[in-house]
Amino acid sequence: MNNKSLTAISALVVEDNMGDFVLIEAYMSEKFERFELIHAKTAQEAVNQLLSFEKNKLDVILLDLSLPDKSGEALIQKIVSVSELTPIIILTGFIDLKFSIKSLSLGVSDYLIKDELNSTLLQKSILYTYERNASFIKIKESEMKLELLNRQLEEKVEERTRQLKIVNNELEAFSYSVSHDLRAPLRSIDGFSQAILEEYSDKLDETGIGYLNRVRMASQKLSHLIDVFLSLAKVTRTELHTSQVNLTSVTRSVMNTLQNGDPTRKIDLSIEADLIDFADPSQIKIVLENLLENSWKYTSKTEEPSISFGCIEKNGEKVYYVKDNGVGFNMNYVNKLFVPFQRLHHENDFPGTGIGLATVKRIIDRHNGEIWAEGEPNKGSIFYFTINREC
Amino acid sequence: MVQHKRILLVEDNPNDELLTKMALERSIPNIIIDVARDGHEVIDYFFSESSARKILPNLVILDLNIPKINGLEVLKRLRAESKTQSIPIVVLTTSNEEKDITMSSSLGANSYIRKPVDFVEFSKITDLIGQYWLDVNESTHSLK
Repeated sequence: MNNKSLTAISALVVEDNMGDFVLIEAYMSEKFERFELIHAKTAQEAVNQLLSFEKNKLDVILLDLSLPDKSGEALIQKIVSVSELTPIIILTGFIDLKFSIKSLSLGVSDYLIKDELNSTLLQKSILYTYERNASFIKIKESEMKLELLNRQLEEKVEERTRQLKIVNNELEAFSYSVSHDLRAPLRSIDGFSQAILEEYSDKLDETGIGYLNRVRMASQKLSHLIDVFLSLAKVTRTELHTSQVNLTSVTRSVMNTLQNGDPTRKIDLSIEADLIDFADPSQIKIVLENLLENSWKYTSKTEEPSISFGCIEKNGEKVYYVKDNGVGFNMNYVNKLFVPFQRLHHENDFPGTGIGLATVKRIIDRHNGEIWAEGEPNKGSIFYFTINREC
Repeated sequence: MVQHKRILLVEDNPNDELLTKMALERSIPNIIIDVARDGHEVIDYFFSESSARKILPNLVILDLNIPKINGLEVLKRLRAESKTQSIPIVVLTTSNEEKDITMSSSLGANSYIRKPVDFVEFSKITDLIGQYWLDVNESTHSLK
């Protein structure tokens, strides 16, 4: 207990009986060196006093339960509504255990019977109430601080979200204009090159025709790059719609399409059965398509090529993998794998845009997952990914 | 008498206009191509008092990304007027944005085609457009 509580107490005594007030005053002077009693004779007077006080002026309210203008529960409620955090001790002539318990739930700190009251009991009740209230106020204050911090945090998040939305809209407008404005000149380059080839070929020699064909191929390549660039942007823009997905059948269908595109290739294929998880079906298909197409592509020069898709458990987590015995890669470059437009192989050896794995990583990120890879030159590579990790 | 087919080509880019004309003229014999370079010109073409067009085109080829009144708005207005509501309209544009495709369809475009960069592909497409909309398809519009 701090000294203040022992030496100087300021109390509002709400009591219509002058005799009782004098008695309380006597008890107080017996136990407290310095104290201040403010007297209110009616509920209305008490309310007026309470409203006029500065905050924290009062240490305690001593409340008689039957006043001329209000009594009982209604009185307690009225006083509690204006007492801020000042503790209330009830003084009453009646012993009513049920009501005394109820009054505690209404926000009253203690319940004293006048007939049993003496200076020691009053002192004890006031000091206990005071200390309990001090802790209570501390808790309240931290609650309020926490609430303020929460509110500030929420405001910050809202502000960031707003900014993000603006940037997103800008990005969308940018993508749209890229798709239009970059493609239009390309169409002219390709179109007029072709027009020259068709209408003026008699004025060109073989080298000239070759050059024009190169112009056309380059413009078509750039057009394709614009397409994949846009599809990468699109992956992040579209909302996720997750549902149950059978990864096994997605893998089977992707491999079927690849096999149908080149029926002469023989691949030793192994796909684990019944792999089911929650994901956005169209996006997880893009993931598997990219990984499997890579395996298909990078085993094209391998003797006895094999590709497998499966799932292992690592630290209680499901880890999916796509594994092949193709050209693999040097682990020194593993960090470049998922960066857009970074390629580890020459265009002439293995054509590609350098966007596939970047797209895959974005999708896995959006599924709260991780993706990583292991590889060895001319031995093969394994791509691992997880989805739906607990945050 | 040779029957002429008339197309209104809505296109603001002069290079694209020339290329599209080249491709169309090559694949569709006896074709007359009118050109509107922005949304206003399309509205004037059909509705202005002075032009008071009596001969309507058999087909409108509409780019979406055009100045003044954009392609989707033009589409909406043409479909709102009885004079033009049954003319076949093919949207031929660079965009493959989902919202452009769905909006075009819901506003009453008869077809949506994305312009390819490859001119050989593009010629094949104009060939198909001409064959289908000017020869194969019997439109209610030509009954009038």
